[in-house]
Amino acid sequence: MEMNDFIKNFGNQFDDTDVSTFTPATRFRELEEWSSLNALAVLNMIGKKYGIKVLPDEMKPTQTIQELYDLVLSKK
Amino acid sequence: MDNVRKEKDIPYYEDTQKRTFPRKIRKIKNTVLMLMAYACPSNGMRIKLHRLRGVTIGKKVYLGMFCFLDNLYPEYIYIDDYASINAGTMILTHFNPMKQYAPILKARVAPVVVQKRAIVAVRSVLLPGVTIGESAIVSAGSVVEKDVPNYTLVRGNPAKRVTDFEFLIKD
Repeated sequence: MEMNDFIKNFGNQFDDTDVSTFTPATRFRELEEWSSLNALAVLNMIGKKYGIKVLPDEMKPTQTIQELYDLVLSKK
Repeated sequence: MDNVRKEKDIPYYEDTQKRTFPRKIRKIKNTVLMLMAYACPSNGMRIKLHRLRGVTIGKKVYLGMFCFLDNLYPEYIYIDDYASINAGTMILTHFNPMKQYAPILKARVAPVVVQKRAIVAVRSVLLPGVTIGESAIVSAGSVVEKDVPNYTLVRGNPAKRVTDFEFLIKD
């Protein structure tokens, strides 16, 4: 699993935000488009692409894409 | 749900103005029960009133206040067990425009089915012929014009798929 792929998959869950604007340091909760519905889409993406079940409570402390990526890696 | 009625053509608006006496009585009955259910504070009573109108409602269903369930063809609405229809939702089963629109718009009645454990959030609109799949979620204020698959989250006007979530809630 590579960071760049993860960012691309993460960005694909958003309709209006361009994928190129995402970096490991992006604080996704501060994005205008971010909502609980996007959170569900991201969790589903992690489940389907990487086969890892991350629960909403586990995702709550994460602020940046890097932190979320680290969480996924730690569960692998 | 079994024995769901099939979609059929209905008269255009002008023709419905020459209703027979039994049809008029039926409309008055539907309207009175609808208004009683609309503002009734008890969920159980709301469900009973809608069942009296002809709506098919399963067990342990939640039906919020101020829901508008089609006035002319309530018998085409099917709500399965454990479904949750929240406040202010509008479910329409028929469409009968003026005759002048006949070349482009068909007057029809079509069933609306909300399957088991589905959630329809507040102020959503379900248009004729729509099926909300099992455990699907319709986000607040959505206008649903196409079927929603099982375990799928939709939102917006027109409602678009956000994600599916079967993986997250099944072991």
